Amino acid sequence: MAANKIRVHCDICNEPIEFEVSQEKLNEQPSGILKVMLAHGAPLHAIIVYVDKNRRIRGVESSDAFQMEGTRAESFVSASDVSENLSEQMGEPCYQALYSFNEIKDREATAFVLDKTILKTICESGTICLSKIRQNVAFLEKALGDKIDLKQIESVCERYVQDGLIKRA
Amino acid sequence: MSFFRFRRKKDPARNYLNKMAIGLGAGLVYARDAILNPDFGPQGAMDVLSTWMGQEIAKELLTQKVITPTSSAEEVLEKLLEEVRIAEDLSIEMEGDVAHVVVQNCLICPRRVGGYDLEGHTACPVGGLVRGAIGLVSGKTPQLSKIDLKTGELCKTDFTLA
Repeated sequence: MAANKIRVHCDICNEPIEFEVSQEKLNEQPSGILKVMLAHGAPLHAIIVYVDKNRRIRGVESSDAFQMEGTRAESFVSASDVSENLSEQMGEPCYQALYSFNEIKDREATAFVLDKTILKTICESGTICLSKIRQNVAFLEKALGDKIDLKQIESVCERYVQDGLIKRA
Repeated sequence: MSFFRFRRKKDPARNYLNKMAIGLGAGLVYARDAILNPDFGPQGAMDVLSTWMGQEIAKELLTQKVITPTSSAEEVLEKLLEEVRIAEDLSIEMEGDVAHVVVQNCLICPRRVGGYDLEGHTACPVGGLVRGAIGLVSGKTPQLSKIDLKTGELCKTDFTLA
């Protein structure tokens, strides 16, 4: 099994982190994106890295608090805003609404429920990156009974960029 | 005392109605939060529920061997519209990965056929039915890239199938 190192920068400890992922594992992912949780450093903290099939990092997220079973959460690692800053640095597309959701809602009255949810998320977030949008629309996976991947969300966003309702941030 | 016994006649075409009811029931449970979301309105609720109905119809199409798991998205679309008789006039034009579906004289329009005025809303199930059916068979969910609904007249929906 071929495994190659991928390097990512952790904004919590400001250190480069290397990890290994096999191409087979990446190819196995039905959504095309592998999520890797990297726990490291002192105090121990973690980031989640989203890697696509071309070994490109599509996004990085971190939790606001880190706690291991059997320990007390005495020290929290503050990580607010880290994920979005990192996502932008990693080249992940971010979007910004050009209208309020009420204005868009009327215009897109017949748009599919997923598209409306994406638009609403963008309108309510100011600037938001692709992986964050995915988190916000994840509840629709259960409602629609299928998987909603980043590619699908990006394609909806790009269509609305062309329509002039949102813009790339 | 009276006793009634009904024996079901085999009629595969009627199974689609049962499957739609099954999809509706499952959708109501799994999508109850989305259905009640005021931002989505009646069309949003119909999108979600008809996606479930489309998945169930696709299972029946597979069971009846009208389609196979290797059927293309175009074939699934054609058979779905043929078997369920969505409209009197229906055209599918393929342009690369995009299927332009034009529905005229729709037979499942709550307004034109059902006679409800819908209070200015739409509740078209075509998009969800197609999305659910193609998604179940191909494993890839099509995008509904353009929806232009003029209830009771001419409805156009574009599906990106890749």
